[in-house]
Amino acid sequence: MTATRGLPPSAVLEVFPFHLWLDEHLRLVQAGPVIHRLFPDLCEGDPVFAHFQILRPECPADAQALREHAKQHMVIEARATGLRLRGQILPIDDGSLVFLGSPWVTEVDELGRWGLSIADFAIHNPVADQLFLIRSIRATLDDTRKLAARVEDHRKRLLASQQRIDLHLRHTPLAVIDWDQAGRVAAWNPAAERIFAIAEAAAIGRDPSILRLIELPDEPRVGTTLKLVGATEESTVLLAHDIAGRSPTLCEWYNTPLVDASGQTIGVASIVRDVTDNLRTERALREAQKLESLGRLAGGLAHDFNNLLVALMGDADLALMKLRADTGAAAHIEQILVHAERAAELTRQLLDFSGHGAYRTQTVDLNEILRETSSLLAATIPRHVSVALRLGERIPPIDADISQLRQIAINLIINGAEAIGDAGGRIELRTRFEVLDAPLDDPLLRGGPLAPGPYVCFEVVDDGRGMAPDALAHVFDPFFSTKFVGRGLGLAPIVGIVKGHGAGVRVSSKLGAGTRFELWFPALAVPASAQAEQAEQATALGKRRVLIVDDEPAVRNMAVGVIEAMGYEVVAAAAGDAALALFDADPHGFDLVLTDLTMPGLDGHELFAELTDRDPRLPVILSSGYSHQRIAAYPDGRPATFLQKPYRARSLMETINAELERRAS
Amino acid sequence: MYGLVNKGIEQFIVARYGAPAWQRITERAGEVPEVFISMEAYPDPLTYSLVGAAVEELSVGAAELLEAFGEYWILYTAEQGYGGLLEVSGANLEEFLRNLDSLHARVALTYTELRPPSFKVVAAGERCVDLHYHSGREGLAPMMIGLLKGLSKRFDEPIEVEQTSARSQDAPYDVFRVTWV
Repeated sequence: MTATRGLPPSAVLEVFPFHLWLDEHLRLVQAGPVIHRLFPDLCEGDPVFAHFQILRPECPADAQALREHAKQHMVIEARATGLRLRGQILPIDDGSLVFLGSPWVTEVDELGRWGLSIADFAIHNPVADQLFLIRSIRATLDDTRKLAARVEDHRKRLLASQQRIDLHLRHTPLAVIDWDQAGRVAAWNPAAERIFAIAEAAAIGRDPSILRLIELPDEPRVGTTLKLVGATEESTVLLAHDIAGRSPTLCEWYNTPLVDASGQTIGVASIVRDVTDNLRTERALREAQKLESLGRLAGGLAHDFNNLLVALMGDADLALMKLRADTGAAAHIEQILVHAERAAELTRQLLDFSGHGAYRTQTVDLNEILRETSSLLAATIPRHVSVALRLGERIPPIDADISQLRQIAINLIINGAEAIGDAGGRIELRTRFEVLDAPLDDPLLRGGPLAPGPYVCFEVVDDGRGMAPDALAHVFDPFFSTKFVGRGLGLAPIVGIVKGHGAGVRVSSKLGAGTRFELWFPALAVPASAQAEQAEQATALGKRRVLIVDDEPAVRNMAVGVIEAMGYEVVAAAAGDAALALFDADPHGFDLVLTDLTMPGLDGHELFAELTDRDPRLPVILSSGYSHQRIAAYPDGRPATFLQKPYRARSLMETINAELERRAS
Repeated sequence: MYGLVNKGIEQFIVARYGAPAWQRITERAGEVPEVFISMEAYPDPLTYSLVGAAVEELSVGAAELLEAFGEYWILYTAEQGYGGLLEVSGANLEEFLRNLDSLHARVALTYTELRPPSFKVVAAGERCVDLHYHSGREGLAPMMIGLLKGLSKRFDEPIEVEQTSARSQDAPYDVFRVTWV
């Protein structure tokens, strides 16, 4: 079927708004309405190619050539504006040519640049739809770029986060271990390598048996199993591990099931902390607290017992004064005094243990004491044990009780010799001067913390069998021994003596590698000097009046008896308040006051302050069974005289006379 | 719904309530893509959950929110490069309403999975028409009111809009009466 109908001219104008109709001389016959609007200079009869140039195909602007290229895609460009039209040449039978096309644009936004709008295109023309399609595709491309940028940003952040986590895992002191669903190691960080002494490569894929769990019967908190497979809840467990070459390693395990988005458990994450040192310290602290309590009890008992001994010994002394020496009763009383002295020695030991012992301190050259002691012990130490002295030079003196120092040295040397046993070995006594720049607050230090300052450090080091951590923890317990029995308090008094000297002691030991005791004594700045000679006291200095204050009747009565025997007048009070009232009633009536320190109500310190406020020259003698209450002077400079309980009648007389003489001078 | 619609909702929320509000809405809505691709078709429930989360998060009524979004949609699509399409779809509001199906047919050339609504304009008196709105989706009638108000502003033709009939078992479409004032 052939076409028999043509478009009416008005329809051509509507459906081809961009057409150009040329005659056989290529002059304009007709143009679409939008062409006329865009190119108002283009008039009928104008040579079309004076206004446009052919870009494609490559052919001259003559009618014959154009007819030959009628089947080809044609692009022409407006010489005035540069707007390109794309379409085709259609030869007409009358010799004319029609260019049917539309503007070549690829962006909606481009339309405005050429003075065009979508409405300029015929509805059937797909260019408008293509423009929207292109626009939509470009928008989608923009969306995709944005998405890609976000993905890249997330990737970088994820990478940075992963690096941080890796760094954390690499440097944390906590072991981080991941277990897979089957309970096998999936991740093992460097801290895990360190704690369990197993390399990552050797651990991956292994089951928990590599952890070498052991039971510790004396540590009930230690668990025995690590539940990994099927774990659905978080758990915390303390486990002990047998790691080659080490004492049991105690670790706290925090286990968290790893659950994926679907709720499926995919493994367990464990964070592990090596708490071996913490628990050891905790145990040491617990032991120290226990000993502290025991010491307090022993100190309290000794204090009360001392008061009884003061009364007993005082009355015995008084009885002796009143009896003729050749009577049989006098001999028995002398025996009572001997037994009382031994009882006093027992309380002294108890006070040593409690750290409240009575010490006769003086300026001491520790090196000299150690030379003497080692020489004394040479005969009693087995031959196969050598005792060597490595004493530092220019060691400053310390303020110490010589007998107590000797006791410490003897106990430690004997302890070392017994640790060496029959195999033979060596004990070294070492001294050195050391200045602590910072407080020494080691939990393993007994008697500490030590304030910064100069110290004389005394070490006793043996190469004996050493001690396991458990034994080490109890080395200062009363009656504790690993080898023998019958040593009484064992090494326990050392801690008390050390405390009484403001010193500290620390012990370190390894099974099979010997033991080291370290003791720090505060160093004196002044050189050692000869011990001052004790002056003999005169008996009585004429008629004097003395106020006795003690809440313990036996002590009070004994003191009254002794002082009355000295020929002095005595007024007694059972409490600090009562004594102060007596003094206030007769402020110039007393030549001396002797007061106990530990009393209910106004105690000895407060009474001392009240009395010396009223009369700064009044001699006041302070007395106590606790040596740590010993006072030489109060912080404001007021001198104080101290009399250690239990005291004999003679020492009471001497102290009173010395004070009265001092006042008189 | 196409990503273009979800992007429109996002920009509407961000412009009116701020970016943090949109962040909270997406968290409340659940799994929401970080970026919507304009030409990607997303499941309708995603769009409904976004609107639902916005209603809860912003404490506004669903009808109020949809109407505001409908009005914003006209501005948004013009900004997105579809102004020309709107332009060729009518020289005035009534002509535009009558060409709505044609407009959607052209859009469907680009968005091939489009399930567009259908419209019919029925004369209802002097300066008054009824717009019949057929849609396979439910609950979007308030958005239509907003769209009509947005078009009123675009063509600068003040109107009043009233929904005179709602889709039900007996009435297969919503009817909006548009009166020029």
